[in-house]
Amino acid sequence: MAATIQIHEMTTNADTGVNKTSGTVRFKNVASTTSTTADANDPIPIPAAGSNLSFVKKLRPYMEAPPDTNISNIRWYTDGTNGFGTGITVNAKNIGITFGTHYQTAMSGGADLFGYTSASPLNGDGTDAGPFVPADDGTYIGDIIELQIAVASTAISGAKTAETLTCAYDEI
Amino acid sequence: MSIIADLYRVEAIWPDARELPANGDLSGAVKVSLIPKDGIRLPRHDLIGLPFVRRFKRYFKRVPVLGFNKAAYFKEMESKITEARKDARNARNARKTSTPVPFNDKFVEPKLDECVNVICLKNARLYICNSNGSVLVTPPDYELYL
Repeated sequence: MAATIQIHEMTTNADTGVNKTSGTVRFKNVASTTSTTADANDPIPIPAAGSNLSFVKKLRPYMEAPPDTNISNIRWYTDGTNGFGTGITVNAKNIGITFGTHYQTAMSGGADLFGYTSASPLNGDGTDAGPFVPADDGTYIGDIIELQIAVASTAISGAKTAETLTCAYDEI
Repeated sequence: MSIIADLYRVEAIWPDARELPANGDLSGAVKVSLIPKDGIRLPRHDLIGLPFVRRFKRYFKRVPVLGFNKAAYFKEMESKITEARKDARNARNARKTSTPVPFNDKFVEPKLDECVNVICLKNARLYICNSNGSVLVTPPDYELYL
């Protein structure tokens, strides 16, 4: 039987999150500890000048059901095209397993999320390295991926259609 | 309902009749078969006499991020409107004091989860797609991400 791996939006620490496998990770003007709901509350306002930042989002895979042998090689990527239009950018980075805090200041050391593609994905198990075995069932596996959206004054108002982030992994 | 990772079953034959090892090792096998579990919808693949090395599955899990599905959101909001509100809306429309604006935003179909069975050979890799049974042959060091 194949493993069941969920993607969780982390809330209070590196081992607590909300399953977002069938939901949307909604960027907000409040931290994930306040709301992980995909609704229209607490949007990011368009500034008169400069950019407004969302609170960061932290994603991590969760082993809901174990593999036969192991899981390894976790990678994250997008289709490489930012479909949000002018003035909206997204940064991403791997923060290992150090949860840190939910912050709204500019992410340091991140890179454009849409620069991570199928040809050059973001490593998702550099710190919490696999392989992840059946004994890891019911735990978080791999590293935490941190995301932050920036809305510039040139952005067009309105809710944006979601983009797709892919988490790939190998299983035996 | 089968999840996509379980649509194929892997079988292998060795000259010494050993069992398929759990660690994915295929070295020395003379035949490797990918057999669709439902036996109907997907093609079967039999690989014979190749320099097999190992096997694994690569799973692609999709997560919608950085926005939301507007069509689904407004559909959900519509379902929460009370009967009294609908009556008021109909009465307003009957008076033609305003023209209803249909929701006409583009709806992007989300990409679905995918899984490929990977058979590593000494000189190539075979990626067999679980959703439709198609095969991609690549160099041995090529990493396919869909």
